[in-house]
Amino acid sequence: MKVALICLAAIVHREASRFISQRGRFLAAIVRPLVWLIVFAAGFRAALGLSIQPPYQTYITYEVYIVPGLCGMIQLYSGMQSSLSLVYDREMGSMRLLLTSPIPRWWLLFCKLFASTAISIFQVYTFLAIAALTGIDFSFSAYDAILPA
Amino acid sequence: MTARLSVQGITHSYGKKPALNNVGFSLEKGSFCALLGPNGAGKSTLFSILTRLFVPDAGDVSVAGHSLSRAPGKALARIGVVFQQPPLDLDLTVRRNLKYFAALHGISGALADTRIKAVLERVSMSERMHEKVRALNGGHRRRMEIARALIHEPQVLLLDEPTVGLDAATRHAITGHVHDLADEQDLTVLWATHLVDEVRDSDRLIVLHRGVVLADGSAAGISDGMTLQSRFLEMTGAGE
Repeated sequence: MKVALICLAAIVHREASRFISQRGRFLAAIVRPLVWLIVFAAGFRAALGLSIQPPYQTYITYEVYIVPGLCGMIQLYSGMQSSLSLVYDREMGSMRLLLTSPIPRWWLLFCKLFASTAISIFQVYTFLAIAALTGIDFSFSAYDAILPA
Repeated sequence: MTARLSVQGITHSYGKKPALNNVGFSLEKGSFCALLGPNGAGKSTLFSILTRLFVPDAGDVSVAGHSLSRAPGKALARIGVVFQQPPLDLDLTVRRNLKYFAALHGISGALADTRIKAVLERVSMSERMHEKVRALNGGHRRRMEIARALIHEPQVLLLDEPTVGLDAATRHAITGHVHDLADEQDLTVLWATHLVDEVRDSDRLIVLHRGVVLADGSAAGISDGMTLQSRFLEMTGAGE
């Protein structure tokens, strides 16, 4: 059990340090939805939005309406980037290091997926924090509720 | 006594193309065995099977009595591998690379630090611990690879053409170093190569050609009075 956790921590640390060293990737991942949120939403807000209908009690503006979709977009691109990092690992040979370690392969796969998910969630929260700074904020319970999602 | 590394009846093919045909041998504790074969002989395929990257069509491998197919975890924990292309992260330091590998074997914290120090001392690279791998030359990277493969104190060390792309002096140094490891640490070494000058007369030698073991014995015995180079060329038919 301890061995499995050491392995998990090492893989998460490696993915995180790779992510930090690729600042361009992080920046692109955040800028893409922000452009949509700030530039496009400003244009569309007059024309689009969600009218008052259950379960909403008030009019939902377009920029609030689009936020969950943008979160999904961040996760989609982040997932694609992580898949590419697997290809990179395979080409560079570091996949062999993983495969020749005595840890079961299903656990190694879980570690990789866990690390990728953690990074994409971090990106989503960064995006939400910037969105909050521009005035599009939500209640604390809403931030809490998107974590398992 | 159980053999440290036992390979029995390994047969493998890529589609219809056979790569290995009934390859078998066993190595004892502290032995240095050179696996000599021209390009395309099946050396890398055999290494992929020994490290469980491939599952053979037939046959089995056991490491210190643990079958690679039935108890892969126990068998792999006893193997150290040096690949043809070093799988190192160039942007991390030597220490961080070794730490990562140690963690993949469940070694962390103070124990990992002690082991890293010990293996780097063994390959005379202690002073390079905090340098990035990108800053190391080919010879140092290869030595670091050997250090990496030794970090979990394996009983069997597999090296797949570890001197590719190195100059003569570095090749000589690395070959000598691994021979010392086999003698001093009782490590069983399987060294794949196509360069005959890396084989010493006292070494065990297995000649692999077109997926078949052509000869298995001491290097001096196989060369039989000729130079190993000409004997090897004669056996593999390259001189025809």
